[in-house]
Amino acid sequence: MKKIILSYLFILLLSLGCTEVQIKPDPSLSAVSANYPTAEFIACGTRWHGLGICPLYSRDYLDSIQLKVQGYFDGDIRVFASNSTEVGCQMDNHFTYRNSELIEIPLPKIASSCTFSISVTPHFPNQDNQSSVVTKTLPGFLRVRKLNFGDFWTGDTIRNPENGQIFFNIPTADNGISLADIRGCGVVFDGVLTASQGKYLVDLNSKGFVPHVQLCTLEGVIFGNSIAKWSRLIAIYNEAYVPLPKPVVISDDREITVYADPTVSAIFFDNEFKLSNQGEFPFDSTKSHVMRLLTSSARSVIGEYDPKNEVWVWK
Amino acid sequence: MEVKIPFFSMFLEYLLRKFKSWLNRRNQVETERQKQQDEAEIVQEEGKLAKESDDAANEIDHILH
Repeated sequence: MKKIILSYLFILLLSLGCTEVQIKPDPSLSAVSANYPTAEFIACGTRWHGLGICPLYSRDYLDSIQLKVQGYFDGDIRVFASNSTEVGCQMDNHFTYRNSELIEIPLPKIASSCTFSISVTPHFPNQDNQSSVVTKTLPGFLRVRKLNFGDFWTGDTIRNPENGQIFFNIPTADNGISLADIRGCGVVFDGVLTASQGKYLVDLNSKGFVPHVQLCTLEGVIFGNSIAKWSRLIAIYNEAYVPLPKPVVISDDREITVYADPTVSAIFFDNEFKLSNQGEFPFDSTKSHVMRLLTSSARSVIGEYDPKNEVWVWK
Repeated sequence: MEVKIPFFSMFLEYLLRKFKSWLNRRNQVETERQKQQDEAEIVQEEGKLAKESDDAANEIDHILH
């Protein structure tokens, strides 16, 4: 009698728990907790992973950057901008999406610098039937820098581990020395930069930069052969965070096989996805492809296939 | 005895389903709570970033003019 009941109980537990593909727990520190932005979005014609930066020339409105945010499965997105010093830069909008769509975000029609936070909360398939895994939100930040018409500007983004060194490294065609001013992230630098091997290189840790967990923007101007403005959006993340490694991919002309980290719950390949850390997908080496890997702690990796050079570029 | 087993197993199944449903509900509440906490943290970071970035940009623009 006992044997019958026990075996029945075992089969019942098995059938209740194991019939669906499971979301995998990801024991790593989550992207939000570690200050490692992972949301994917497109702005000013570039695909960004976590951090993005765009110029806005004085004649243009904010909505000209055409912000689109990538969803995963079904879920919701929040885009927030607070009014700090720029008048009109303010929004707090929520959007729901379906089927991993790229959702267009309407922005205020104003000409202003602005900083947006982007929260993407995916709802994994079978999530409601899985009691052990709590999924996390993907954070992202976009900085829009207002410039005067005709300004020469470059901008980039970087994620750096806590206590790492931060360098001011700007490519330049100038030779010799130039006057420069740098502000932001605790840095106040007014002095001379020396160009070496086609770039300016300054150790910012010696100029007041404190490399603790934070988000900030370095702003600079260099008085070289021409006046050049420069912005760098920086996320300093907790050292305990392990960025998701890129996967191993094996492909021929028709098929690609992906082997991702064991913590990966889903692989998205173009418009298909598999709830697994391994999968095969149709592949055409003459066309562009996008691959995304996602864990329940909102760690992610994005790969873009460049058919011209036949290489994957990972973000 | 043979007659009693189906009733017992049905009762066990009922209890298990009830337990699973309770676990799911608890997970949904925890997921929603986590989402709100994550969003609040992200928004808070945006506030700090916006202020810091605008101040730095304004200082640079001020130096130029």
